[in-house]
Amino acid sequence: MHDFLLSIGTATWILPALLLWPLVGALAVWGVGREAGAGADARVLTLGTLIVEGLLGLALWGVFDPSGQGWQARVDLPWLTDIGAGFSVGVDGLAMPMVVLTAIVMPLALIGSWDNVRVKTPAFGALALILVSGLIGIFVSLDLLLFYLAWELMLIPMYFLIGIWGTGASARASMRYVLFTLVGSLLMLVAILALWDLGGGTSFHIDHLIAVPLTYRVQLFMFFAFFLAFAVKSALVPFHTWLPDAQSSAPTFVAVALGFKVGTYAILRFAIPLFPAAATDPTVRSTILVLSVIGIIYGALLAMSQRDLKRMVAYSSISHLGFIMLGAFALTQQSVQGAVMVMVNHGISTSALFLLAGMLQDRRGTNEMGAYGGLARVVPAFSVMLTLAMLSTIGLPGTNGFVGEFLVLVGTYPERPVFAVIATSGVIFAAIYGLRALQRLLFEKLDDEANVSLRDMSRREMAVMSVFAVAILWLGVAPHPLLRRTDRASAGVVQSARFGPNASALPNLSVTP
Amino acid sequence: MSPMLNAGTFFRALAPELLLSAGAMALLLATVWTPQGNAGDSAEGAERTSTLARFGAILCAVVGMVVVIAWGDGAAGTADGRIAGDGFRWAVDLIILLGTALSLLLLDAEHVRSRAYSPEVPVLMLFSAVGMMILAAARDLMFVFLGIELMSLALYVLAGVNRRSARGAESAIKYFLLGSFSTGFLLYGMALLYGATGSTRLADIAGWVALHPALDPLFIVGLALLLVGFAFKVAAAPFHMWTPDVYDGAPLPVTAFMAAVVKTAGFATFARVMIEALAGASPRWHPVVWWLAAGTMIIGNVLALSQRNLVRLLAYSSIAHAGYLLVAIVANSAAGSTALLFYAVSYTLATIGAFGVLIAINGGADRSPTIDDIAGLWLVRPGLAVSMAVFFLAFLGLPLVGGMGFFAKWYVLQAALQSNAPQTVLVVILVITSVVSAAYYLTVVSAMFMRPRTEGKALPVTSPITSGVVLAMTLALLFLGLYPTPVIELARRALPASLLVVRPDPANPSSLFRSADLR
Amino acid sequence: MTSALDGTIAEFGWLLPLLPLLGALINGFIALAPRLRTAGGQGTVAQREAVADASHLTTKGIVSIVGTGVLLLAFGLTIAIFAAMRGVGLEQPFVRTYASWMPVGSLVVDWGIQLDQLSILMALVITGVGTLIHLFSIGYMKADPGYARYFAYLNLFVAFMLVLVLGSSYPVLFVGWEGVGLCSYLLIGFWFSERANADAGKKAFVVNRIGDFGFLVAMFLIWATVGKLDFVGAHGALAGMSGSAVVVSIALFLFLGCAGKSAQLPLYVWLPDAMAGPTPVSALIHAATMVTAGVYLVARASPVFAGAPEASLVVAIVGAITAFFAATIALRQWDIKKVLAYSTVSQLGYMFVAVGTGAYAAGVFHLVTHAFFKALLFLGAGSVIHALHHAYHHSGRHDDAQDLRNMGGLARYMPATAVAMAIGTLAIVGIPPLSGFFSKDEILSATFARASSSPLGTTSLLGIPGDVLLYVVYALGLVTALLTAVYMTRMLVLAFAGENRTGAGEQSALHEAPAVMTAPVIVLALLALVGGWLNLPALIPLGPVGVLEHWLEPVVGTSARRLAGSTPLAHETEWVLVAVAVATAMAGIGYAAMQFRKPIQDKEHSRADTGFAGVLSNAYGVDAAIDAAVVRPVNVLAGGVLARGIDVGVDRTFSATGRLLARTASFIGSRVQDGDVGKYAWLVAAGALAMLAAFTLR
Repeated sequence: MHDFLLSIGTATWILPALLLWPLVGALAVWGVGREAGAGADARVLTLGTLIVEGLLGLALWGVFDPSGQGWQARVDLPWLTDIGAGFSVGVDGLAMPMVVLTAIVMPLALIGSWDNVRVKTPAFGALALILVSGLIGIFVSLDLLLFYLAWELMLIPMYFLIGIWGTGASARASMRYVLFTLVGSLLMLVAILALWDLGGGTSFHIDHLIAVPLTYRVQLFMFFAFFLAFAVKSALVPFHTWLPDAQSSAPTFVAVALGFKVGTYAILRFAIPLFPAAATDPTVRSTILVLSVIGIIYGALLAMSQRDLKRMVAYSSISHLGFIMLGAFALTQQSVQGAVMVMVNHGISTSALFLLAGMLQDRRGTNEMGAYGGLARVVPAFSVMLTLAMLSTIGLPGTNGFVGEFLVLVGTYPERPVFAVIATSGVIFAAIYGLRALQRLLFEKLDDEANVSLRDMSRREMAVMSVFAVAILWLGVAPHPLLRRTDRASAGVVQSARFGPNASALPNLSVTP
Repeated sequence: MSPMLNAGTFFRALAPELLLSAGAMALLLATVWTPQGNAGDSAEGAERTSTLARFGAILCAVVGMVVVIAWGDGAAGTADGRIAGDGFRWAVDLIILLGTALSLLLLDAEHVRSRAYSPEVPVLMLFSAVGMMILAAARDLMFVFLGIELMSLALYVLAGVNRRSARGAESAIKYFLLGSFSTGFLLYGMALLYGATGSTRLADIAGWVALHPALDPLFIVGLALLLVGFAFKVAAAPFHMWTPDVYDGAPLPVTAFMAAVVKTAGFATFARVMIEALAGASPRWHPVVWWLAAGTMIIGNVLALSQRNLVRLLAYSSIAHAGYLLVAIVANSAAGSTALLFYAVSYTLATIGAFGVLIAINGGADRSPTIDDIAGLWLVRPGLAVSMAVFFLAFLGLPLVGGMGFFAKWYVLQAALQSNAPQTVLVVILVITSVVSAAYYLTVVSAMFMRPRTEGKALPVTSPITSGVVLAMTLALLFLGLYPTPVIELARRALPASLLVVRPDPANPSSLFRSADLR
Repeated sequence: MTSALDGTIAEFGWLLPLLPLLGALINGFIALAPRLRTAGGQGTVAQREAVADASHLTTKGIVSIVGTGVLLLAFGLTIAIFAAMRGVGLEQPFVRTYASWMPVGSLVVDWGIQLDQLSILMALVITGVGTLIHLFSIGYMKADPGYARYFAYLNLFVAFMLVLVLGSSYPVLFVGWEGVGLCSYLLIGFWFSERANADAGKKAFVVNRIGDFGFLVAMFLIWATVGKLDFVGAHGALAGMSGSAVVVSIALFLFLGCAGKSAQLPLYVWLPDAMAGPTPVSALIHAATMVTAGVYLVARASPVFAGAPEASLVVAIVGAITAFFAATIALRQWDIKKVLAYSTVSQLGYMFVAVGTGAYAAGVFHLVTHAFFKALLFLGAGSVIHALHHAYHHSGRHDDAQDLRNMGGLARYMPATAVAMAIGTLAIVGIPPLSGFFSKDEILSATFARASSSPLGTTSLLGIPGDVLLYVVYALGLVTALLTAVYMTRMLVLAFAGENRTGAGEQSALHEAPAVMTAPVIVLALLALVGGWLNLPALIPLGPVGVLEHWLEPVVGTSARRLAGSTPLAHETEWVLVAVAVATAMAGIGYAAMQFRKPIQDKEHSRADTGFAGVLSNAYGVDAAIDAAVVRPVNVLAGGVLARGIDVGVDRTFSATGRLLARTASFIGSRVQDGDVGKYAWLVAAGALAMLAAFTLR
């Protein structure tokens, strides 16, 4: 397969295709798409586009060389010659899984939430496709300006999707989402500009900027700007408050899209390698690690106290984010790869949970867990899937959730034992919120008449969910195909951070005596 | 000493302006010769003449643009350097004429519905445009004053041109009073500068500053008053108070004209004076302009937050943008003037477009549209709503969806960071205030897309001209947002003469501009 | 690493967990399929379920065959491997890795199994007793709508349990460790419509998670210390660093895990509630297998614990206290299953005393015998409950089928069960020559011996010398033996002797359980009778001596010797110990027999216990205390302080700043920007002055 794909030159067009195809589709959907039912159903067009996108994603997985060095499927085209910005994209072991994940989960999310959006479907489809393009762009951009454009390109469709098709106080939620994000991203823009300037104002390519010598102070400032943007985007405590509102009021498809960890990816891709001295500065690092640990416990505790299923999932993802940050800044091979693993898992388990929550909402119009109970008797298939997804969320061994958290923690322990231990206690709270949710929804008395006539998952939904189930178990039992591919890139992150300017001040890479 | 300014060179130097003035005169006369007769005739005749005037004016503007582009170098700067022949002038002229033509189109769009405007309106706009072009060309304080007065007097009238509207009259009188008040400052400042330096030519002033690093008090006070005058014209805080009221009172097309074009002209001359005459004194005025910029950005954006009247909102947003442009002036560099020009283009396009939408939804009512009028626009006029979103996101400076607006802010930031004294703090203020601005821009966008249409608000049919303008602005913004290179190249070459490494040789003074221009 | 078992049947060891897993999948499908067909259909849920059950009735046979069959197969395979192992006299463990699981940098975690004397013994118990209990379940669950689901869970449990005991590394063991926890959760909450059951399941899982936290930390410690996580490698590396602080902490964290899984203080609270599950589940999971996983882990990690005497001492002491503590509670329970539950906790305490004092063989020995007699007791209790349940069902009266006060004189109606229960009781009480006598006696004497002379005796904990502590442990063990005798006899007498209190209407319906249920009980009874011969002490050579001990020698021998005393006890001393133990047991039985012969009033009229009895009957109010001290505060913290307090607070601060800006703006807008041109002029003038000032004043 690999060779065949190479033989048709996939490596030379796959990334631009992934990036631009959704935009083409968006035009088509906006142009010829009709409301659901009549004529060319916009949803069908959207789905078709997304499915092709998913196939492209698979092709990328196929063409990716696990043992390859540096950027793969790289493309560099001139764009804004006057400031030296180029259209340069490429992937490594860090980006490739995220791209593939996005490309594959998005169509599934649309199928799984097929009846979630019924009005103004052409606009919805178009915006959704632009959003996907933005997501992909974030993951594949090697040019910082291009990255910034993708970063904001993702923002606006998200804003409209949440605001227009959301439920509850969605307009407010979407507005806050944008404002929160802008605070960070505009500062990041300044930092990008300054970095570009210091780099001679000739190129935005990461390979060029990474070599720019920076004073310690400058690194600190720029790192702060970058990190703030990414921390807000990935809802690190205390910048997390927008997430539950946005995710609980967003349409299912968008809630899933919000689950992709672009922020933490960007930290691993840009913030740490570009400013290693700042990232490994003891104070900075400890602060971030403390925040991560707080996030783990805090998110879990709040998830415990939620009555709304979607909000609960949102808070659980805040807790997961803590694990990712912890792994990213513990900076050991295991922890970083664990972080990547958690990012992928999160994209799977949380997406599944949101889809399931969406199914409930589409059927009963509420996500209040109090409105349910005893569902296991009426919707067995749904119950099985929910249980599986939830178990993966709380990191039961044998599911993907465990692998990620275990790697993060086992990798963090030699670096920061105390943090690792505190973080580990998160598994207890995870069990509490996970099982509490299961109990409120599936168990206890089936007392509400509305629930008695609840429909179980349709074949379509079941098909989607079984994909997630397979992924959960596969990554839980045999994650090494993924780990093998993320291996080099993670090592690269660790190296660049540790053997950066002040490597001497750091513990050496090997954590085993 | 400077050679005598003979008529020949003078006419050549001011050829485009004179051409336009001539056109304006002709139109004025044409409007006088309206066939008298019975009421019906006169009404229909008046209609005919005003139509003639409007299209005549548009024609003039277009012709002016052609002249500037094709024949600009024919009107070289005068040898004594009182009138500039540099790319900066031509670029500004282009923007002014473009904005004027578009405003005239909007006027026409508005006129289709409300017959409130007498035929001299377009003529006045044309005269005002001429004043602005003189401003762009002026390298002598006297010409600056001349231009400002020509521009302003026409504007005073325009603000109150809607004779049936009390608000219009009020705003006009306000504008006139305050305007003349500030002109006083300006004139006095110029006088003092002349007194101090013995010349009104920017070049001479620059030379004097070079010789007298320790500027004497006379000069300082003059400089201060000059700044007050400019600050008022460009509506920089704390001299911005007139803006919302005047914008609110004036007819929408006129407001568009003021918001887009006047601001450009004001900044053009402001920048030219600062760069060509007072660059040497920058240590003294730098902190003041710094504070002007900061204050303007903050006040403009913060005051905009609570606005529900869209015109007032745009007025405050225009103040905020004045702040951003001031940052470019603070940069006090070639990059600064480039950024200023680029920004002016982007801002003009977005402003004209936004007012086009307002005109479309306002239907000639004698009141400014509010957020409630625009709520749910997406449900009835998706096209207009999307365009309006693009314009507002351009004001906000988001990439791609905001089109050119992003690069406008980008180049300002770049200029500020790359100037001899990097303006990091100012840049951060700019960024933070931009976030604040997001709050009110997005409130409007949210209203358009996420609120139901308020009952009983039937939208008037949108005239094809309006939709055409709006669509054109949208596409232009979006395209230049993807590929801003042509405009930026143009703006980069079009520098004030004093900033050119080699002064253009008199034989072919604007070669730089032409090499960069649209062919 | 080559092993004597290479190329033998042991190569099929991987089949052991897979067989039950297969069963679980099949049964799970059978459980799900008809529901899926009927789900969302017409009619009420009850009707739909009825339809589903109808289809179940046809599939029940398949379910039973599959569910029990896979166990039987696994049992056979285990025996085969066991035989092979005996044949070759295995010295080195047989380790096979099949796939790499989490290979990251220097971290190596493989899917692999380790077959040695210990794991195969556990496998024998699990599959053997498991088979019996599956058989019993066929009868016990016959009428349950969730029949297939039940067997699916049960098979899944066995699969995970086998992963637990066969896993060749800590992470793989942990998979089984949490997997059995999951199954226990599912089975405790099997009748999930009752909130209490669901709660009990959740409680079990969460409390176990507290233990698992310790387990995880222990794994991190091990990896950070020696960079290995497989038993052979890690233990080999750790052996070198005996006594070091890190080894002690590893041992203690591991023990935290064991305390959670094996219901030791203070994490025992979940086990009594776990009785909410079906009784066979209590027998299999909460008596015979899962709860003994902690003991297994200590034995498995014996090189670690042997290298950390202090930790071992802690294990022994916690075990002893738990044993005593639980036994006292058992004295005043009316729910027959609760009695057995607390007795299980208490017996687990004994096992930890054993493994804590380094008498690993004795611990495992007690584990095995306990598996026999406690499973027997639970299944017997199951039969009783089953009988009463049917009786009440028959008469239509609703009363507690588990309350001892509703029993009495059952011997008349269900003699076989009565005899079996009697055997079980005598065994657990420790009457020679039943199995419990030998295992318990070995533990006590071992403790006594360690106290007199051993590394444990010489170490000290918190300044208290080890030998003192060990004597205390021994004393506690002895007292517990007495208490055990009392509460078990009490249970037996109340249930089977005296007048029947079930009710006139029901007595006619009381009858012995079907053969499919009694058969396993009888088999277990026999095992409980003769189980002692597995490991006869040298003192009483009624047959081959110390079989089990020799069998486990290659696994735990070294570690055991490192903690064992240099001088064995004199025979006289041993005899005395035995005599004392037996006497105690006798005394207990005698007292209880006297005490509870006299008829008690039935529930309605019996006054609530007062004084210490009251304290006992509600289990020292530990649950309430924990609820007040931990659960509520955490909930308040999460729900009140964090959610409504801080989280909203953070939120507010962000939005408040925005609103403040807007407010000030509108204020200025209204006050300054009021359209008064004069004011504007003044402001312009003021601005001009300010400008002048800015320029002139430096």
